[in-house]
Amino acid sequence: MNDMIYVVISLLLVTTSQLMFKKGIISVEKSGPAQGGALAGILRMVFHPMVFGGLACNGLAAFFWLLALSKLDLSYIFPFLSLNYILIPAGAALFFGEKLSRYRIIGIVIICAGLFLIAFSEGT
Amino acid sequence: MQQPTDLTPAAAAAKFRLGLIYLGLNLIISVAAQFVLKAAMARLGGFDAGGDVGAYFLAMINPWIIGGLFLYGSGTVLWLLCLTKLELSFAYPVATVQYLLVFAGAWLILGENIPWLRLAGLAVIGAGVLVISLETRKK
Repeated sequence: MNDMIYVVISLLLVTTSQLMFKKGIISVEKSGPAQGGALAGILRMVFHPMVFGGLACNGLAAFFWLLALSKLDLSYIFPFLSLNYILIPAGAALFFGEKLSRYRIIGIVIICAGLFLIAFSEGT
Repeated sequence: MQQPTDLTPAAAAAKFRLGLIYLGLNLIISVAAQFVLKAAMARLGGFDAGGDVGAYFLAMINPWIIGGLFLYGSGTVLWLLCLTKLELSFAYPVATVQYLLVFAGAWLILGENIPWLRLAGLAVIGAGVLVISLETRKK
């Protein structure tokens, strides 16, 4: 079970990275259309400090995920990223004013119920 | 349909569709990355480097790891593109569709045993995504 710490660290880093992604993308979109085509647009987006910071968090998350994968079954640990399905939409509502429709809230609750079922199934 | 803007309904619908296309490509590539990385770790024999930082870097030179991380990176760019078109609180839960792909692959390709409780959980997750997708039919 101690190996689960890798999963928890990875999970928190993923939530942080997603919120940083969206924050950065909103600010890139506000600054108008990119000059010089699609690739330039992607590079501008990727190297926005907020997006780039998010990528760094994502890289760290991947590193901890690799450690977890080396110890535990993929199909067992994957669902634990579920807590992100509460934290990330809540963060999006809080920081970006996204409206959490009834469909989203009910859907997320159902998804989490499913993930709990999976979590309670036996692991290795 | 998604972010409140001054877009016409047709333009908003086109933006939404493009977001879904990016999301779909992201899902396929991200799941492929998971399997390549799992294959890589299997080849390493479930290493335990302890406090040996050097061993972790050696592991990263493995071509399977590099290939898996490349797929992971490509999936990430597609995810960023997806986020330029869709709201985070919509796209992130809908991306749970990848559980379907991961479970199918873990069973078919890796031969991992999938207990019935996990199958039930998968079905419930699918239902949750369906509920969220109903939001788009209403408008």
